[in-house]
Amino acid sequence: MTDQDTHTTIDRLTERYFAGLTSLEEERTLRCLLARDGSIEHSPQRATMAYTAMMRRQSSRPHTALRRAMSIAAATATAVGLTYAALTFGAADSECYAMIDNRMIDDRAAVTAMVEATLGEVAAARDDMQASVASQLNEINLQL
Amino acid sequence: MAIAFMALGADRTKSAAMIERHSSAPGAEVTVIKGGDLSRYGLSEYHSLTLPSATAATADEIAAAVSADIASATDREVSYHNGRIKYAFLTMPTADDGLNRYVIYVCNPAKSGRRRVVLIDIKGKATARQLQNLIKITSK
Repeated sequence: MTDQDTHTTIDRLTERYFAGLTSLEEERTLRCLLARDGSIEHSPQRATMAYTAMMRRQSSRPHTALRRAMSIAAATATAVGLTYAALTFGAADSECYAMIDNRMIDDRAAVTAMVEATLGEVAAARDDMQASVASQLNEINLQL
Repeated sequence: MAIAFMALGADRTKSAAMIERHSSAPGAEVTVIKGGDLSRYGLSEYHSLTLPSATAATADEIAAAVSADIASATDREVSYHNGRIKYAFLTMPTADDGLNRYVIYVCNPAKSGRRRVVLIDIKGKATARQLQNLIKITSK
């Protein structure tokens, strides 16, 4: 089975699973596929199956109660996944602003002008240093 | 923003902490650029602080942080004037995310015994040479 087939099968079985339509054999297949598949996008399903397995070991409650617990676990896992994705996306998002005396400036052109001015100061300081080094080397050269 | 700072906290330079600490000082100019157009230059974060008229105490505090970064830098270009750091271009140890990190510092005299301080914290894939060329080109 290719990775694409595995993903498709996981998605199909997951859908049936949460609809309460899977047979025991299909649930076993889903568990096996999730265990082998390491992709992040199936983390919520994997978390649900792990939770289910734990519940199964701890209790022998009827199948319907187990399904309800699994639904809650799935919802929780999905919420955690979405929160993580939102935080990750937020961190990767671009920012461009300046603060002058605690006053915010978000005009890109103004910020760019500030950056250019700042880098101009850096370049001037570096030029001074290089001129100083050149002058010292020249003095040494004259002594030789 | 607070979350981003917390996430970056583990491998921040002393100078980066100074930028944050003095960013709301009177007259402070702070620039924050992250992602977007910076990626064209091989950079991912640009964070600068300019204090046009820093007191001697503030300037000394920042200079002490830069001195600490000079000690831990993997490559440095530093000039002193009258025993004080005038200019520093520091290549810091690689950040946790594998990106190169640089600290740039400039300090010049200002009016009434005060000092003009520029402190920049930069992160990205660009090498020190590429960044220096970028500074030269951008400032012209």
